[in-house]
Amino acid sequence: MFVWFHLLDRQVVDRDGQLVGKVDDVELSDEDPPRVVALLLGPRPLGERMGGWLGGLIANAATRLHSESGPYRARIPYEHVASTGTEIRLRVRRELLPEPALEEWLREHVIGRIPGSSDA
Amino acid sequence: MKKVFAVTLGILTAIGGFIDVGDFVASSQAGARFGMSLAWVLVLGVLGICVYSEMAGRVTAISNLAVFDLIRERLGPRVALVNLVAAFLVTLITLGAELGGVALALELASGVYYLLWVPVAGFVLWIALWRLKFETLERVFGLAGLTLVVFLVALPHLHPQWSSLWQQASQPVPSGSENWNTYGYFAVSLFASAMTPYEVFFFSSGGVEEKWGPDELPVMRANVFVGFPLGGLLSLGIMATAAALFQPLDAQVNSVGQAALPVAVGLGRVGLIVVILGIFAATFGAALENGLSAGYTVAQYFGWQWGKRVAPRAAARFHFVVLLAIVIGVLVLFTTIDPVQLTEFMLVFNAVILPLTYLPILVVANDREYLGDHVNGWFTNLLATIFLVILVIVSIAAIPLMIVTGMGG
Amino acid sequence: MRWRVVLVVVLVLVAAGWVGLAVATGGGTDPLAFRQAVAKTAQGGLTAVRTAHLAGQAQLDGRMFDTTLSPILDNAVEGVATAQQELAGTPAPGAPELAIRDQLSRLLDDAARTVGTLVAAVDRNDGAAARSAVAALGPLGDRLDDFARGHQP
Repeated sequence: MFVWFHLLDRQVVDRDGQLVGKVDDVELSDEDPPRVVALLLGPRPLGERMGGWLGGLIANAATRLHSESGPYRARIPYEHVASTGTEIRLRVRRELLPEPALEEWLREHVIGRIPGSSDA
Repeated sequence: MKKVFAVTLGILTAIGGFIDVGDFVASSQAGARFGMSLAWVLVLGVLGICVYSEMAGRVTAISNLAVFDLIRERLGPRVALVNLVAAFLVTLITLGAELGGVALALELASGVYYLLWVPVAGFVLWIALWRLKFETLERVFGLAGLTLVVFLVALPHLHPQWSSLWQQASQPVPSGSENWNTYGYFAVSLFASAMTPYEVFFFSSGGVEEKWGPDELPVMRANVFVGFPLGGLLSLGIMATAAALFQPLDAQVNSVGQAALPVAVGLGRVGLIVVILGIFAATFGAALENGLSAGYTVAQYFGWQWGKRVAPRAAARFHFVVLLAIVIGVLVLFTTIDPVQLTEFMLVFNAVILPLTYLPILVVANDREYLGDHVNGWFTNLLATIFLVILVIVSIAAIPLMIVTGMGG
Repeated sequence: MRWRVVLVVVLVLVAAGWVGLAVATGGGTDPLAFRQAVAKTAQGGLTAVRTAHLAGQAQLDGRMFDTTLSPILDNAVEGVATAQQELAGTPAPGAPELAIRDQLSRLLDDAARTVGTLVAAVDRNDGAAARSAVAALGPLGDRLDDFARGHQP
């Protein structure tokens, strides 16, 4: 069952519709036929899936930009997925997921420091 | 009544927002050198952007996703990455060219050297993108761009030979000292100016920002099929005034000031004020669109939160890319490259990536999973495919023509 | 790996473009290249003179602003100077070419002087001097036009 082809590269949104990221890779179980255990988001999974020197480039960018907890790599267990379609909607809010290091760093050090950053 | 008002507003915004520094430079250069014999290229280009914008708009209205978003899903991360890199680089160059246009308009207004205006323009551009709402940006600069109708108003006052203008338009051959190579080069530039890819990405992302749904389809189509051709008419006006004033004198156009001269000659000081305002509005508006597009393309590839619907804090990477794009645009101009030459380069590069950016739109618009029954009909597909062939020809011819003619020479 | 091939092809095209541009815009020492260079230079001078004439006339007719006239005239001055530089850097392969080059050189010198006079007159608000400079630019433009037409490659 090619379920994961419908998942890869799809937009993941949280329960309020906020954008989380794209499904860069999926984690499959060892069974036969394998089923999707978790969604993987982040430059590392993307780079590894793309392969080649370009993929390596992207994966390495992840290592340079990581926060204390290591390169950004969100592993979203499949149980958190509420629905799949043109986008993957989760049951949880974005705040409960690990935040990408780049977003966090830019918010703390650049964007967040500019007046008006909290106004939509 | 309110609906009519909204539709009219949308159309007017589309007309005024159509022109950017590329249209301006390409149309006036072509008019001065070839009279109206390249007018057909503009018409063709406008038709092309109508077909593809309607597709992109339809995709967005039905799927709630921006077109660029879908490219990665349909064509895979590798193809989409090539697309992203090309689109992003070209958007950066375009942003630089538009900022240059803004600075040149300010130079015409004030007499102050354009390079001094560049950082000011860049800063104001960033502030506008930071603070102002999307709809405000669209409306204000779209409507202000309508003032470029002044070219059409000025045209009769230049006492052109109407019959010879018409004759040139209906006989698409190079005239005077021009040859088929320069004719081809300017045809490529004009075509690229009418079908600049960022416009389609922006149109589609804007649709998400404005939360289009299936109900907005008729309005979207009105904007595209009425607004864009009328916008193209403004481009023809720029070409015609340059043809009327410069071609009989065998003068060429290589600066923004020259391009505005026909309006001064035809309408005097009042016309001059209006045209400078129009050039400012068109280029500033286009710079806004390009700044946002730079952010859209990167964020939509990686799935980051993007857009002006959320606070900047919640889309830090998107806003950072926008900021970076503006800084790079300013730095490119600081190399003291002639902004008009930069615009000419920009048009050639846009021409080269045309098929790469438009093919995915055609693919996505045929995908039933996203569009259900709203997929392309056979006629749309036929038109779109014909245009795709034209785009490939233009893309392949662009660089060789640039070399052979020494960028128009 | 198809995209890699595409990438390499694009890079090669771009590199070829740059090299080609360098070659195309460089001067040559054969008569055809000379004529092409001269025609191009004459066109540059012609455009500058015509622009200065139109803008100056618009100023005299009260259809122009000082702040707008200034950058337009600056561009014209630059245009003539660039043409003169280009001409100076174009080698003449033989005696007839040398004569052609001298003729264009004299026209461009006239152009530089007249446009300069116009700029100075505008700066000084000297209406009479501006009028005579604008009046001179018309026929000068025609002479440059005749030259450019007559020396088409």
